[in-house]
Amino acid sequence: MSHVYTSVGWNRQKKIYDSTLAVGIAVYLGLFVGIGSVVHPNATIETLLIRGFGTCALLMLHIILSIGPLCRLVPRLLPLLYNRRHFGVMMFLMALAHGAFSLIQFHALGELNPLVSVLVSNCRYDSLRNFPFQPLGLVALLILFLMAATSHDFWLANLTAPIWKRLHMLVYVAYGLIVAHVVLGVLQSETNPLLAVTLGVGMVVVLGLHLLAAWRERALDAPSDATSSADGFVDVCAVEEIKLNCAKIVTLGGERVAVFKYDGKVSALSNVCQHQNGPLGEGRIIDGCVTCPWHGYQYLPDSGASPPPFAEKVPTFNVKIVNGRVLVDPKPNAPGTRVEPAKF
Amino acid sequence: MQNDHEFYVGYLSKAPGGIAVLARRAVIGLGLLTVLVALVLVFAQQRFAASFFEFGNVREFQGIVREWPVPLLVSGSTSKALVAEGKHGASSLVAGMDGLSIALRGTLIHRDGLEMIEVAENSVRVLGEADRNVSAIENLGTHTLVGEIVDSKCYLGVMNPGHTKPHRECAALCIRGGIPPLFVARDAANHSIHLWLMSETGQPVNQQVLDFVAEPMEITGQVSRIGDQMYFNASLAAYKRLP
Amino acid sequence: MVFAHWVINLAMAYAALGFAFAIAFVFYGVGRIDPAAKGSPLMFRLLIFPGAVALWPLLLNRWWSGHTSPPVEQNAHRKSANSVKEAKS
Repeated sequence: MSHVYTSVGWNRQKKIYDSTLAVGIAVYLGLFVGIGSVVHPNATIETLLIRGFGTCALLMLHIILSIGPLCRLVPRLLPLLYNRRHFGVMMFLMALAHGAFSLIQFHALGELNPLVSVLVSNCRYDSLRNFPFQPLGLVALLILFLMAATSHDFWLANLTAPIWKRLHMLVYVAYGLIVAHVVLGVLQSETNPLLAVTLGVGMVVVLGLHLLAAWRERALDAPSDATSSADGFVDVCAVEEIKLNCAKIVTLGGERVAVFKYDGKVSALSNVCQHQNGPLGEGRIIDGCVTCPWHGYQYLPDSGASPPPFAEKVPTFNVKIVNGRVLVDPKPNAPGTRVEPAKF
Repeated sequence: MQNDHEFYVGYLSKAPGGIAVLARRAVIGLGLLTVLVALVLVFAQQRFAASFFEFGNVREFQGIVREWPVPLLVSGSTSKALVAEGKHGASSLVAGMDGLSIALRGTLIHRDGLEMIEVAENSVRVLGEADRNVSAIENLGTHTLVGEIVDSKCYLGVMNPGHTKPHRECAALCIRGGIPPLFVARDAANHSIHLWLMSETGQPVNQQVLDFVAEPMEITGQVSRIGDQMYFNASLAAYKRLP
Repeated sequence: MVFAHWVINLAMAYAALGFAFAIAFVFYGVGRIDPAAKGSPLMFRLLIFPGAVALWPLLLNRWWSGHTSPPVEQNAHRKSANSVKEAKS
């Protein structure tokens, strides 16, 4: 959103978010390694660190993956989403520490290049129980690296949000690889069922929240059963169905449209925020601007353009009110095209 | 507390009251989850074996070198296996010294009464001729044993845990580098027994067993004892993977 | 084993080329392809460095082909709006 990129656009909420995160990580590692070294005096510090960093990253990944659907289900939890990118980068750093320590511990000072050793020291691809679990972790770490390395808004702008999002959807591939890495790795050796149960509960929570959120969203993407008039305008709802300074979301033209009511007027624009493709229709009108619920990107409701100096623009839709009903033309106007709001 | 008019904008310095309260509760919940998960994972881990690597404590050792079947430093009736630094065996450090009395500097590794020395680089000094006579080989018969092939250095204490699946790649790399493979099995009384794994003819099998380490194995072979060390000579054809 | 060596060597070569490219990119190229990067602080340039190492062919392509601003995303609404605009013109 900034006119010139900065490293991090710090604000009070981000500082609170990151400090909370840092405290959480310190508490986890402190407990795991501190109590671990008392409970397991024979354990070496390298083992405790490798396990501590690995499990810390895994716990963080579960929380990160749960935040998305949780905020779809309970939008008031959006503060958890606001700086999730830093959460992701910190999780990557934990995973990197786990990977680097393991690479040094298990593969350094040998006859082979340590990375080659990861790939060839176990070739039991024919056996599930003995399957090489370390390459799975390595591939997952590469995906997490790619995500962390492209977390800056520069990458969002230069890859474009849809491609950036597709790249970041690889987190689900990484999650699958990491679960396999744990199940085919340490869980083949550790016998306490609590460990498998803990992982299982985490997977059920992540999967359950995603299914629940998808089920709730399904209705929104169903083709609109609204009737269209002779001029092609589609009847989307009554004016009073839309709350003041809020929007109703309908699917028109193959994508969601946000129809906002404000200041005695109604305007319609594409629901897809140009920043991270957040749902504009779940946002509010603040200071006369449509404000995205995810990161607060703003657009003028009549033109779909961000106020200067910002340059984001979304498509707008012609709109009119007939007998208290809101009618929207499903043909989008070019991003940033001003449309006369319908007055009521 | 529920207030639909509230709307969170991250770059505004204060979150609306109700949302801030909910976010705070969520953070407290996640904090408790963090503590719970840390405690569950700490206490649910298996006990760690009493194996030791006296890292940082480099000492002087003296004794008679045996190059074969595995490099040993024999002193009186006890012997200590020799390995080099990193993931390397000690064969080249004591090559041609069989039967000589030597002094060396190194770090002790031990577990279950078995001892090993990680020999410090360039620390071997020959003290003189000692005993070219090899101890008698005591043949204990043919046995079928169930156990795991481990790399002796990690298993005896350099890593903990130093065996089973998570350690497999490291074990393979160590054995590839010349660290003698050890077969860890259980005897009839369910006690751990440790046997140096050799070929049928008593030669090293490091490069042949790489694909079998850290798996449950059943091996049939000749068990023997030389001094205080046990050996297990078996042909690769007598290795059987267990499901 | 030979295959694994090839994989690792190829990855290393890709990363080495990316590293060399990224040095030039974060100090010179980035401002050419994205005006919002002109005059940006050193810390920003360091932050995008690892990504530039990883995605160098993509950035090189944009720099090489003379793009002076980031691409604009395409979705159903934007495509439809563009086709309407083109039909009118």
